[in-house]
Amino acid sequence: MNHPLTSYTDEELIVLMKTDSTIVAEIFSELYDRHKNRIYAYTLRVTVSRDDARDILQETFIRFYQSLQTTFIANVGAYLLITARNLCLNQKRSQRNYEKLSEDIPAEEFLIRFEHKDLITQLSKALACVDFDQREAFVLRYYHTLEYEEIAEITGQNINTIRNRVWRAKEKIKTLLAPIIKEISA
Amino acid sequence: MNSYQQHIHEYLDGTLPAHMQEELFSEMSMNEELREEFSLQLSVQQKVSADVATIVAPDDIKENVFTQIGLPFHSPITSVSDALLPLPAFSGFFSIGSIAFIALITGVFSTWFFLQGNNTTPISGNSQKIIAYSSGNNNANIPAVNRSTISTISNQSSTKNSDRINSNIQPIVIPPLTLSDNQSDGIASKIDYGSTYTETIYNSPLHNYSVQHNFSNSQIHNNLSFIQTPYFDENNLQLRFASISPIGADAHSVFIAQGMYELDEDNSIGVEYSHGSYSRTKQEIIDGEELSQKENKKFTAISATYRHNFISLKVFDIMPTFQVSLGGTTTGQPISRYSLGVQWTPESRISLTIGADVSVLGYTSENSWNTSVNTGIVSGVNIRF
Repeated sequence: MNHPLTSYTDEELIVLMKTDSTIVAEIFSELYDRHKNRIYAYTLRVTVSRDDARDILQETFIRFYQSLQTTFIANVGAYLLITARNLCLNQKRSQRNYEKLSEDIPAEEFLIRFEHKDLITQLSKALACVDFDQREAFVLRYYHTLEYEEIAEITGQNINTIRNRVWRAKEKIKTLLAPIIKEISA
Repeated sequence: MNSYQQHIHEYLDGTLPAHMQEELFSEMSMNEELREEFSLQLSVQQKVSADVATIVAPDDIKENVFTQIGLPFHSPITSVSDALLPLPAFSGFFSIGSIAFIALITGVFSTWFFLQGNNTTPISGNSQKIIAYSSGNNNANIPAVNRSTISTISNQSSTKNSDRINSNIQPIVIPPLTLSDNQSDGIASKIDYGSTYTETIYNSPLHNYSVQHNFSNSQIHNNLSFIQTPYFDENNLQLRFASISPIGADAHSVFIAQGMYELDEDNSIGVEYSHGSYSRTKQEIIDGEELSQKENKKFTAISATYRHNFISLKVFDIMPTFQVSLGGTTTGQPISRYSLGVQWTPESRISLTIGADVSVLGYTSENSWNTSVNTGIVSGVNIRF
């Protein structure tokens, strides 16, 4: 090919995939590489479990490929995100016995437990303490940089509800991290 | 303070209207607490940005996806941290295609052995497995037996092997023989005299054969028609189906199917298919300190199996048996299974087993290996061909 696959848009790649069956693997590989980190970031931070995030990332792309056989997907990014979200929700529903040991732990205890960890670890720990719905809204807003309207559309919630969830998630994280941040600044 | 906190959030979020920005900054210039709040919220947001940059999808998932959807995958050479290294490539070997192939081969051989074993064929001369069974009239052409091929002869008592004989076929009386007896046609010539049968056991390297029936000469003559090797003679295959009933809170049911080959009466080897569930502890991100969860996962495994029957401890058709299986699941996890129990053989082709079973399945979570131990009562049935 004269043009590298990276020069095509997602939609162009899908059209190309349907017209040239000899390069399906290469095209799918390109689509996977484009979106894998974004979807993984969502699943990892929403499920707060590396094992679940791995499983969901894998299943998301398998379903995406299966859908490509029968459907024309106009917005690959949105399709992947919605698929991953549905899988996360299924996972959450199946985990009735999920035990969140650190939920609602006070900031002082959080400081004692994690003050020696790196800041990224502290952030992920703090995020794990946030309610699922608030955490999801926060992740979509700041990890995926989606507009509130887009988040509302994906989650089926009122835009003000989403704004409130993002705000509450951020407050919770800030409260947990504040002692650590202040200690570093001091 | 709260409304300004929210204004700071909205400002950093890019959603605070311009006219309110001016008010916010004016307030912050006079309020140190608000400046601290601004600094805190900014730090959080900066950490999120830094976090986004650190999250990279594990490399091995791409290959898994391609394998699952059946696309060729040519993995680029990348360096992967230990934490992300996939397990040894069991999964490639134990693909669905491989399992189907193994099942096909096992099925073909089982069928072949079964059909072979049920053929009514004359016993061959000079066979070390000298046992003959007859039915019908007395015109049987009983072959000569070269006694030099008999390794040992003893007068032990056993009835089990004769029980395996098709009920339509009666055993020929085999006279007591000794190693010093050099007659080559002893079986046929001895049939005419001796009103009762005396038991004889021939020990071959792999088989013990016995005939233990008492009947008169007239009965023997009336029953001789053709000679047949007993259908179990050449074949030592067993199919075994078993299930594990869980014991304990985290235990699960497992279905087991085995194809076994008897090396001798004590030892068997074979292939085991097992399907069931296991419990695993999920770890939270990074070091798993906050979130823990027990979850159930299904598995399908193929294992190599060894079984030992303690035949010397056999009492009333019941004997202790021990079994060990080692293999891997279709997702690349090592699995081992150990069971100790008893086997009851009410009929030579059917055995029932029951015992205690412990399975150990290895899996990785986060960066480390973990094991899931499943305990239960295993019960099953063996069908011998």
